[in-house]
Parts: sequence; C-alpha cells; structure tokens
Amino acid sequence: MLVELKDVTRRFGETVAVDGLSLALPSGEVVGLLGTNGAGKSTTLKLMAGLLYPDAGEVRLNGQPPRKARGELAFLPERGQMYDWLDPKGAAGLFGTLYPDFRPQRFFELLAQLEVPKRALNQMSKGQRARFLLAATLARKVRLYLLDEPLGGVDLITRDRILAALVSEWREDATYLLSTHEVAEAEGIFDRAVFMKEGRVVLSVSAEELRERGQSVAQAFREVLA
Amino acid sequence: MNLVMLELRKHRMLIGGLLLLALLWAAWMVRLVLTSGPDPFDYLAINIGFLFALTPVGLLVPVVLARALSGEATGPLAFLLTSPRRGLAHVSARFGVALATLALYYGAIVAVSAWVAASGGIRYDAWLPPAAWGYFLVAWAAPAVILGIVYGLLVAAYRPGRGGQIVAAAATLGVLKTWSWLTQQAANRLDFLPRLPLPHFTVPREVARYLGLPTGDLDLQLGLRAVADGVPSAPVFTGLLLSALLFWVALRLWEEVEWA
Repeated sequence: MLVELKDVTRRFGETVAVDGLSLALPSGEVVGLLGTNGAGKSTTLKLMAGLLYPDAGEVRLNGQPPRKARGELAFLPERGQMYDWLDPKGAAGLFGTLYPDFRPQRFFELLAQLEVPKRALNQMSKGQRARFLLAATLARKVRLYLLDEPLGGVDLITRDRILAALVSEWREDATYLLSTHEVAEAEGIFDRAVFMKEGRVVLSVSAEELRERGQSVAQAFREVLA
Repeated sequence: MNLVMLELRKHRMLIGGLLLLALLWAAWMVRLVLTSGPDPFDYLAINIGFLFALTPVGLLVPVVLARALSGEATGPLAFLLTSPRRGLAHVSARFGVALATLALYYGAIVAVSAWVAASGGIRYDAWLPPAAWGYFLVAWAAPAVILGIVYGLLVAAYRPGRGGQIVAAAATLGVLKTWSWLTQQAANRLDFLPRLPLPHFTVPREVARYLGLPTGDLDLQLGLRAVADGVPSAPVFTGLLLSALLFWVALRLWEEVEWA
C-alpha cells in the first residue's frame, strides 16, 4: 500500500478532528476524499503530508513516516499561499530549488492550459492564484498528490478547466487524493470514493462497486453522510 | 531563485534599510570630518560619540534580523515544510543571509570608525579594524542571530506565544539573563584559553596633553597592560560553540515544526 493510516487520532484542544481513522490506499488510484464540513478531510491530508503529527496511531507513506517521504508527495493546501511578488518564472526557479522533482516545462504547460496570466501573484484574481498553485503542485513528479479542495471557491468555468487539467495530468504510477465538496462536478473522475464523517471513514468504495450498485457518487454521498 | 535569493528578496526592505543606514552614517561622518576644524580632539569626540550612538542599535540589529528571518516556517506557506530539502538548507540560507548582512553592516561601521580615527591622527595596528569586526561577528552577531532564529522557530512550532506579549517578554528577559550568566561563566572558567594580543592604539600628543598626561604620543596599550595581559578569547570560543549548538537546535526544530 502506498498510503496507510492506522487508528490515527488528532485533536485540537477539546475537538477531535480525526478519530481512530484507518485507511489504506494502493498505488495508481484517483481517490475522492468526501465529507461534509468539519468531517476531518483537511486534517487527514495534513497528517498524510507530515504537516501535523497524530496524537495516536500511525501514518505511513510507502512504509515511511510522511516527513521522511516528503520527496514522494506533493501537497496543495486548501488555503495555500505563496509570496505575492512571485511570477511564473520566479516560481519555477523557487520550486526547482525546493523540489528536485519539479518540472518547469510542465509547470508552464499547465499554466497555459489553466489560462493563468504571466504576471505576479499579487496581480491575479483568487481563481487565477488557485490555478497557479495547482499547476505548481501538479508540475512535480511524485507518487502521491494530496489536493485539498482544488475545486473550492472557483466559478464553474474555472472548475471545468481545473478538472480538465487534472484529468490530463493523471499518471498511472501515481495516486491522487482529492478532497472536495463539489461531488457532482467531480463525478466520474474518481477510481475510489472515501466518505468521512466526524473524523472517521464511514465508507471506502470503488467506482466499479458504485456502478454495480447503480449509484452515483453524489447519491452515495447523500445516503452515507445525510 | 535559490533559497538565499529567496531570503534576500523577502527581506529586501529590512536588509536594504540597514545597509542604507550604514551608508548614511558613513556619508555623515565623512562630511563631519571634512568640515570640522583641524583639532584632532574633534575627531576623537566624533568617533566616540558615533560608537556610543551605534552600540545599542548594533546590538539589537541581529535580533531584529533573526526574528524576521524565522517568522514564516509555519502557517499557510506549507510548501516550505513539504519540501524534501532538509532543514539544513533552509536554516543555512537564513543564517547565511543574516550573517552576511551583519558583516556588511558592522564592516561599514568599523571601516568608517577606523577612517575617522586615522583622520584624527590616531595610529593603530593594521589588524585592529578587521580583528574587531571578526571578534564582534563571532562573539555576538552569530550566536544572537541563530538564537533569534531558534526563538522564532520555537514560537512557530510550539506556540508559546499564545500567552501573548508576556511570554515573549519573559522569554527575552530569560535569554538576556542566560546570556549574561554564560558570559560570566565563560570569563571565569575559560581563563585558561589563550589571550589575543593587545593592540597598539596611539593617540596624538595634542590629545595626551589635553588629558593632562606627559607630553608625547600616548600608546593605550601601556594602560591596558596594567589591567590585562591580552584580550580574552573566551567570548570567541563561546560564540562559536553556542552558534553551532543553536544551529543544530534550529535544524531539529525546522524538522519538527507543525502546521496546525
């Protein structure tokens, strides 16, 4: 398994964000991490990225703790920020320094595909910045992509562009884990849907199983999480 | 853009401001020397006043710089922490930029001070200005900078700052107290370390006469010899040791920082 979480718990004060969560994901899947607000999706992704430590349990990426496997994962945070003065050229240089697996050529291709203007971030709209960050994340060549709400807070046209870019980028040797509320728009791109509620995984089901049940992801979402 | 360029770009206002301040000082001193009378006592007064004015600022500069350089390891800038580049690269870039800035800043102060003194007829060993510059950098600037970085990372990692300014003030006081204790201990216990030579520092006869001393040039080394047989090297060794230790702590903290 590429990703393994065993009985992971993470609290913030009195709040239990992730509660004894266990999850195993194989290599080469596109996984939707779905759940209502406060279900613990972002915390789970941060635990996988090594940006948070679990209070209990164990997180392993390719058999290693996340901090040791940073070279194998790319993380797009929900409210990702970047230095405002960075333009695409500067960002390519910076990311090339930070990440040995960064592909500048692919970054510029993705920016073009996502119609991101070639100017500094402080001269971009919110949607353009989101696409800029997504392009920077996808331009890395790693085995695990953790994308927290890549479709959040953008208009329908932008969503379509992002989804098209995501689909064009899928590689069979990589696993993509996306958290999203936009279940209907993301329908059809997942190999697996993982439903979370109150910090726990309540259902992990493949797209094939859903098809056999005659259910869409959105229908399963309503059924499981309502 | 590498990590050093990134730090320079991020803190260009602070770094540029410090260097501009040093340049303005230099220009002001040059003007004062060139427009003041021929009495070398003027030069001495200018130089001493200049150093007294700069000392408190110069002592605080490393702390301010280090605080700025350590302030963003956490928070929304997660791309720094998920980088597979080790803490060594990040901390080295920050420490290196701070130290290089301070080297230029103190370098300008020492150079201007030496020039003013020389203009006043004061003679000293040629090695004195670079030695004083190096001594100050190693004994004070380097440990102060890395301590500031450790403090910033500590706040970022474990958030003792939730207590607000009281915690920050207590931590600062604690650090100053610890520093003072360490200096005292170093002076007392590391007395066996070799001493650095006392410099020759000769003031012109006009100044000596003004001070009521025998006529002729006055070499301050003679006066210093009466109280010490050399400049203690303990602060240099303590500074080096502390810097290395704190650098290691900073690396560990960088690896441990949480994003919550």
